[in-house]
Amino acid sequence: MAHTTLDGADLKELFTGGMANLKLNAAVIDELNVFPIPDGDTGNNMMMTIEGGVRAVADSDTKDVYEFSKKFARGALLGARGNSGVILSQFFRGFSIGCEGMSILDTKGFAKAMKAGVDRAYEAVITPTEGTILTVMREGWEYLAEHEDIQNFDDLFKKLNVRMDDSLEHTPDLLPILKESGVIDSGGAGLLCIFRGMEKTINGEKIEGLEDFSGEQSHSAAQSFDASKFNADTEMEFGYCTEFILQLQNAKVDIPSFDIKTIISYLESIGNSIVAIKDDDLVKVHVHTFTPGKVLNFVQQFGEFITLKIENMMIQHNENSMFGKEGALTPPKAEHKQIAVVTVVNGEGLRELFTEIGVDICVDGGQTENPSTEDFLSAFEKLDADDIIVLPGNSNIVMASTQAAELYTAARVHVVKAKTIAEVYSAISMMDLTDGDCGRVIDEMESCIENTKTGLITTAIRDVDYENISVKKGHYIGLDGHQILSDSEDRIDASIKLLKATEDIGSKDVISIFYGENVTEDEIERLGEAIEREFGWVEYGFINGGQKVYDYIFSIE
Amino acid sequence: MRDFVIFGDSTCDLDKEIRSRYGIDYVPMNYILDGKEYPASLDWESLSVKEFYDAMRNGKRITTTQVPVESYEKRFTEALEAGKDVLYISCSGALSGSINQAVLVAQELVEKYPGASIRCVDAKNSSFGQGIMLIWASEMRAAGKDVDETADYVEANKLKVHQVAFPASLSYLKRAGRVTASSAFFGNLIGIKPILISDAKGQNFAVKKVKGTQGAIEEICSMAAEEIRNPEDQVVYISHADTEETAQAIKEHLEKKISCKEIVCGYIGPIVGASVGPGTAAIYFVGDEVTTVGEA
Repeated sequence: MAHTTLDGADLKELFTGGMANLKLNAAVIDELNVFPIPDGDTGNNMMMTIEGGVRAVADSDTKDVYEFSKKFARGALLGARGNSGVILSQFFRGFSIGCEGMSILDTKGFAKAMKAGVDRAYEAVITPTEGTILTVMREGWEYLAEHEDIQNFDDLFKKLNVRMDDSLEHTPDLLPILKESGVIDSGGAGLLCIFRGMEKTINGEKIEGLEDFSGEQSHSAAQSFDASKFNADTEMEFGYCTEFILQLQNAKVDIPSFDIKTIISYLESIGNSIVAIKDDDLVKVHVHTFTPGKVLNFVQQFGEFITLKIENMMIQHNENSMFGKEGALTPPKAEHKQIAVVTVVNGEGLRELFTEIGVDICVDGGQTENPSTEDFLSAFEKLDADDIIVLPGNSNIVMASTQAAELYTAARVHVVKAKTIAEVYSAISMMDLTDGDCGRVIDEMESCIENTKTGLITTAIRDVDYENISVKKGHYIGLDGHQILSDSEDRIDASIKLLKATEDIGSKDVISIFYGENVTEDEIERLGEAIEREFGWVEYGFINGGQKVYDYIFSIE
Repeated sequence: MRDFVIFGDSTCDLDKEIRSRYGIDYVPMNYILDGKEYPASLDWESLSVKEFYDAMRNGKRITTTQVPVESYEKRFTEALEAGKDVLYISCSGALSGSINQAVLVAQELVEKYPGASIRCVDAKNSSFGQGIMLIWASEMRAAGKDVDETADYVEANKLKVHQVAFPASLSYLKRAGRVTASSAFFGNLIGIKPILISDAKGQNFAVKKVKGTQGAIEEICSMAAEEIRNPEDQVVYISHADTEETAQAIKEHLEKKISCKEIVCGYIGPIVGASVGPGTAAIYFVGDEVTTVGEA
């Protein structure tokens, strides 16, 4: 039987259902949290708020909606946490004020109370922002105001939730940060969870299962699909919507320091519509790709799958156009930039780091670490920039890059003579391309390079007699980029001797150390201790460079 | 004329001695460590400075909560019951939503206490930046000004309080979502120190980067020396997150560049500390109005 009125006891049941549904979804909502402070606690904060309300009425059996809602609002106010929680508590507060003079609510009374709730919530925020929980509640109320003919609450919640879901889906159009982050508003999503919980309760349904927000680009696998449009002759145009939750594994990766950008930059190379979030030891990923197998293999290096879903998007695409144009995989086009940066690098770790710092293209040095003029030209072709800065990173490459710079006409190309990877690192770690003044950026880079000393550790491939150093094959040698400064059977010993022999080491502040693929974590720890002992005044740190030839590259500044 | 009570909150970083000298009170926020909630005491009552920052150094995540609404109700009511008005100078609204709650509580209480005045001012700053404003308020009260004159003065002059700071790294601030920085600050680089100001919106904004702690000390001291006005009339404040040596080095360096009344050093309290992380140091002083606004 349809519910035409609600009393206090009914509201208690509904709000409790709303809380249960929010609780179930709190973690999902936390992940959506990017505004105003992306600290990932919206779901939890809203839950604490509504829990406060439910707790306050636990022993209450009042049927009077005004009495009930006042008590509830007070509890919610005391439980309120975080911005969305405060707004929610003020909504309940306003709702209770709107109930004044009513002992039961009909649908019109509910709309009136909701209006008061929305007004109160808007007042609670010094500068109300649209595209948030405020918009979702306001548009929900506006719908009710325009549809006074709704007779019962079963119908009301059903329609209200459709409207609020739609409103939620459009939050990214109102708040740019949501669009940039590829999410819908978290507070709005929390509010919808509460109302959906109320809807389920009034329908006598169980509160179970995660909410599916239509604004989020995810689809439950249980959705019916029509595979008839994809047959033996269909050309794959849209790739696969691939989603999974990965449990990071201590055995595979150092979880606290694991950077989600490692995954993002890989995904960017083979997919689009990427959403990737790291939450403590879990990683949640959404990506559209032609090669889901590659994605899975790549990420499995870091952990194991908790859930996994891969859907052919052409089937979805035929069924509904939810993905729109974005669903199609088009080759990435470089955005126009004022200044682009190109360097040559070997080793996955170095490549990732340099890309993260802002290098646009890392030309692959190949086996010989010696790319051709041609390789540089094709790198330049991929860019759309006014100025291109090239950091060769090796004295052997300066010629090829200078030649490429002279041949290329579509942009001004500047070769900054960073002759070692340590110099490249020093130059890019301090660059600020947002400056916009290319001359100033280059000056800054050159002054960093001038202040940087390079140290390299490698293995002698034959016996060497060189000036006053005689090195045996298989020993470790330390170089400053030109000459041998140290040698030892022990890699750490060779490193310390090299650093001691480095010019001006006493006036240096920072040593960044890129370790190669042959170095173990244990050795790094010992090297760190040795550096602290010998050079207590410097700040140092290790970066997994993954390079082959040099076991250590020291950038000494 | 009615006397008034001056409240800050847990981000104002004024220690017991300064608070009692100036008659300043504060309403605490809370922090959560290992699922347990502690009041964010500026006198380090639950965890000592070392325990707190060592927990962060050991990778513990500490989160923070706004001032609970009942604390505002309780403390403001106590003042009103004693026949006093209230001035609350809050942590920057860009960093904490506490001020929103305080304003609502104030609206309700003034209805109950006709004739009383409760003024809530968003400091648009934190740590000693907020602390300096609380001290202004105390000095005006001592000079016989009422709550409205005092609040109006703080409101009109708050953007003259400058912060120049550097965290040991941006990672804590990024994780806490309490910084705006351009793409120039991507990547957590060894030895790179971002220089943070409190911008005109009260957000921490990374304006430039410097390599090495020595470089960062030199940079913030130069910025302070350049931007300070009438140093001889000012006490300059240095706050630090358990890095006494750095604070001392900043003090010595700054003394060579400017001559001010006094330089006072103190700890960054648990709330600001949870966001900026151990190793952070900051200078607070008064200059021309801050107009810089960090992007997005």
